[in-house]
Amino acid sequence: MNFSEIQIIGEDETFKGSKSKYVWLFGGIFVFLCFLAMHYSTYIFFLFPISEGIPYSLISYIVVLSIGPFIILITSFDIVSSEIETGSVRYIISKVHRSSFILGKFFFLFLVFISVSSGIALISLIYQYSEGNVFQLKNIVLLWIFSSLYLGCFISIFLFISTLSVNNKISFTMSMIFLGILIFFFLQGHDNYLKYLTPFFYGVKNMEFMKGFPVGAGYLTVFESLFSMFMYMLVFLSMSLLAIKWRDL
Amino acid sequence: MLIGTLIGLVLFGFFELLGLDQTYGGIIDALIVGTLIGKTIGKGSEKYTFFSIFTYNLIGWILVFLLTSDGKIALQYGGIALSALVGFLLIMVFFYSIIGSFAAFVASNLSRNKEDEGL
Amino acid sequence: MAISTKNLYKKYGSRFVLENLSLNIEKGSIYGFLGQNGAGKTTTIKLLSGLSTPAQGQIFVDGMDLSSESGKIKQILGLVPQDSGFYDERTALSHMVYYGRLKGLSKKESLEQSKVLLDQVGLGNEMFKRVGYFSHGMKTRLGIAQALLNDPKILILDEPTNGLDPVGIRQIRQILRECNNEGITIFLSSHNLLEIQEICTHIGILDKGKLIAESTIEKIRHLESNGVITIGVYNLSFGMISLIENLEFVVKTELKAEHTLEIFVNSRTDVKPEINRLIVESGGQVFKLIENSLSLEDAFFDATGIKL
Repeated sequence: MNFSEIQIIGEDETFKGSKSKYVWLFGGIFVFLCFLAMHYSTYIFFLFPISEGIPYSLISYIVVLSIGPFIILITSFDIVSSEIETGSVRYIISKVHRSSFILGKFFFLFLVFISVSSGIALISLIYQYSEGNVFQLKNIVLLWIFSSLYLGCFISIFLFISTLSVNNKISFTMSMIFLGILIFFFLQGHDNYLKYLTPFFYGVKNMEFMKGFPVGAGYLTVFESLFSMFMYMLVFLSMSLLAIKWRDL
Repeated sequence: MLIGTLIGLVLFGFFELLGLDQTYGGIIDALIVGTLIGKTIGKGSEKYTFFSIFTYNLIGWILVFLLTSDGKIALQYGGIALSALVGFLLIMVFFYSIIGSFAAFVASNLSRNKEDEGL
Repeated sequence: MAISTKNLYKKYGSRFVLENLSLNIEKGSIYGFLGQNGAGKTTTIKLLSGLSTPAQGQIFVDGMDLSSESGKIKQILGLVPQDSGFYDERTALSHMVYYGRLKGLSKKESLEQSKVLLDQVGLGNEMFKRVGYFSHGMKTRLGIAQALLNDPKILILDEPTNGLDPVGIRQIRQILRECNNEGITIFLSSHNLLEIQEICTHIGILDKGKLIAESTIEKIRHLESNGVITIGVYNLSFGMISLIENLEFVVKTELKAEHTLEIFVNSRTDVKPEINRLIVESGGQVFKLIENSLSLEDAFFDATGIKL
């Protein structure tokens, strides 16, 4: 693993991404949907019977939970498979470590969506402040961290599928299929252990912290949740590294 | 594909005997069969896996309906109830086939020494 | 040795595509790797450049083991793959700067070297042009330019003249000769015998995953036979042919017509007088006796039994 190689690949991906209209479009759509949800929050306020005013951060978080996976899918399904399909991966892998290639791609995507999460958190903060609500910095920070990790889980999943695929078509199809499988697992009901295999479970569990931050020993549950999501990301990232290591290019 | 179907059928029966929850049993069975077929066939294994899993599940459930006491009771209901049950089973079998196909995709592409046709 | 491989095996599934490949590529040489389509040339190149891993065997590049020191080896190696995989929407210079940085150069160094290399390969005026508008020959030259970043010791090219016109082929040959003159070892694969003959100093012949011959260009010509004698005899008989075949320097004979026999010989001395004497003593009347040296194509056919 070479950090300068990771940095160069990540920088180049940022350069390519900044020129891509799709990155701006879908990132913008994401932020806009959160903005819309907060703007019309008075109409959906009844869903959140909390006495401390409209929970802007929670509403934004719900938008991230529901729309985030699809936005990630569209922006990252071809991150590796397009390079494999065109053959440009050979020019890169003949110069750098394979792990640097994958990690560079991952960190680029992760940074992009951390920025998107920051944008969403900022909009929540502005709305909160402008409505004269109690300043809930904790909730904003939690929104930012949980959103980033939740989206990070999906980034690692779709990066893995993209690494396995020989072309964009297969990558997109398999990504859609896997997302469907995750939704299927999540909908199996409360007693089912399959939900633990989905990022949705951890994302929904984190909503409890957004409603009210736990005190004392409750902090541990927050760290437990953060750790679980981090481990989830790490598992799929490791599988991506394994896939690229074994692959003949 | 035939061997995958047979293995799937054997595991189906095994999980039925163990009394394992049908969702878990179906998924584990699909994952095992998908991985086996993916590793063996390689490229293009997804469709074979899909048909294999669909086939052994169909055969398995038909045998369950015909041979087990619970199955016979279900058959006796007939009409809308049975249609709903069959419909539900078909949807679940479809999902198991999808899960198995995905497992085949991962297994075939994660193998070493695989000729990269895409390049 | 610049590159050496020891008992290299590669298989896809249960099928061996390379078997017991032991190559030796001398420093400063231009090594031509020859073989039919599907012989395993591209697979070998992928193994040498780290794009693929062998099932068995070892690869040494500049004395370093590829399996444990791939990072260092990648810094001294330049690869030109068969199919160009450039990004259509990026300029040539942008590609070069990126690849230069990946090779460990700073942005400034990469920019400077890129401009020099693009000039060297004849793309100096096109560096700000998008690669999507490049011709096949221009993409090949860009491929060579990116491989030359950070002064590699070894250049590996996979069928670099494939699909090029004669002008393009000549340009590539010129660039490769210049690189070799600067001390770069070149390993290139091809199924174009003429190209190999024109430029290479050493040759390896691959057939169905096995290295069947490896030597200098000149020695290959002498592999089976180093010459062909065409003899015309008015009363040529099978008895005469049998006597000729028994001569120690005769590799084989081929009856071309009723009175014309081709004799493949392997000898450093002039054998025509001996053949002539043998035929005359057998009662034959020689009306034609011509000697030709064997082309590389003939030598290849002799070695493999395959016509390219």
